[in-house]
Amino acid sequence: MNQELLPESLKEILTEDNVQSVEAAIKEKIELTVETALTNQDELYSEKLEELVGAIDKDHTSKLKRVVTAVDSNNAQKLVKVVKKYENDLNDSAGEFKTTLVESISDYLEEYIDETVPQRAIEEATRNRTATEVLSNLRKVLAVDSTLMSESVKDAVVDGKNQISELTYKLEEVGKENKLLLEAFKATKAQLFLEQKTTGIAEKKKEYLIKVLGDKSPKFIEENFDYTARLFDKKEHEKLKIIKEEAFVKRKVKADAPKVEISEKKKIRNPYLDELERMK
Amino acid sequence: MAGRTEKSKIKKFIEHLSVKNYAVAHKYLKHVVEDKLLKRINKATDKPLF
Repeated sequence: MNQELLPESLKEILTEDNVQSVEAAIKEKIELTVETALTNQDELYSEKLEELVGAIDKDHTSKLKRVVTAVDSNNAQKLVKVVKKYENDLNDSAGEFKTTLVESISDYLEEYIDETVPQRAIEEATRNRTATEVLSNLRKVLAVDSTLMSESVKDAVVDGKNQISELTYKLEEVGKENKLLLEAFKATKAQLFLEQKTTGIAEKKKEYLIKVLGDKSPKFIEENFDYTARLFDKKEHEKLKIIKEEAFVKRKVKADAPKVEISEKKKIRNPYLDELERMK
Repeated sequence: MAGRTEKSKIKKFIEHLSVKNYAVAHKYLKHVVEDKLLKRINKATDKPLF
């Protein structure tokens, strides 16, 4: 501090050092006071700031809460709408599918029954049953049931039954007679036919033909007569051939023997040749 | 079961079939087939014999 600024009275009392000391003490005091004031100010500001931050936090919290509530509510409403829409869609499509499935199963069963049990068979069975019922009812109406049959009707039915039995028996008898007559006629006809065919034929051939074809029908005889005759001829020819060969082997007159004149009147009788002659 | 309609029986059949309750499903299916056959028989019966 400039000493000249001091009053005249103090200039004489205070020295330069004293002034400097006072000045230093004042400076120190001022620094302390400022520091204290700053500290107080800091504390005050801190408190105020904390209050302010608290207030702002509270405000923000309440605002955020409102915002969250509003967003939640909005989203919930939207979700509810979405759920409802999907539920409706699902129910609609599921219902449609259910209806379609039920109809399809019904149609399939109809087709299966059509194939397995045709309508024609059902109608036939129904007609049969209806006819049986109608007949039964008619019986009841006309009183011709076996238990309720009246005596007159019963007698008539019994008489009719007897007549039918009698006629059936007669018919059987006539049938038997007719069969016998037919057989006899066929035999006679065959015999006559065979007789006509064998007229003028050698006795042995005739016997053979009668033996083979005697019990056959006229038609069979007509068809097989020529064949049987030819068969007989063939057999006889073979027999004749064998006999000839045997006769040639057993002959008494040889080819190189002297010729003996034999007159026509004195012919030697050979039994083989006789037999051959007879068979011709 | 007799009072139900044919479609409701088929629905029940599907319902029981889907939960593997085969015995009850079989009963419903049997009734459906019987109903269909009865319908056909009644239709044939209605036709006059002569």
